[in-house]
Amino acid sequence: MKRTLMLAAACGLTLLAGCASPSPASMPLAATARSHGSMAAATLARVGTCEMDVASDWTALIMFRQRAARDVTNRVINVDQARQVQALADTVRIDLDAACPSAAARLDVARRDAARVTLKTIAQLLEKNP
Amino acid sequence: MTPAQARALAAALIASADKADAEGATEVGVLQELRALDDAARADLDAAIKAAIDN
Repeated sequence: MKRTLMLAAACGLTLLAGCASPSPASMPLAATARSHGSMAAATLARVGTCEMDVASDWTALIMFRQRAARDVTNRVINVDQARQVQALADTVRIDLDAACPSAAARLDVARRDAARVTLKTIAQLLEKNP
Repeated sequence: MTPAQARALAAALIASADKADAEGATEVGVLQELRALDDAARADLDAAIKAAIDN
């Protein structure tokens, strides 16, 4: 009986260990890097460069300029508002360029955050006139 | 990120990857692609503002 209980406990522990170590397919990228050596770590390093930290902000910047172009054409916003968007967008660009001047650079978080504040201002300006 | 932004970013990444493949490069120039797209968007907005003034 005691041996059966010990065997059951051992099996239970093995199952728990299996649950704690998900299959590689379901592991997040960081866990994959730890278990799959230097090549994955190099890939992870590339993914973690500042360009990916700012890529979504660049995309938002581009889309806001495109939206402003459509909106001023369709008279949803006036020329002054469109010029304001352009000027704010230029400020965002300066901050994003400073935040991540090249893929190998370290992210300047303060400049990235400053860009995001200005992006929010642009969003509010455009959303006032949906 | 909105779904539209995610699609736009995906398109920019694919374009960068295609360009890298064509040039035989091992690095993808995501920032260059995004800057070029912003240059184009800036020019389009300038043109739209000018057209709105002229009309």
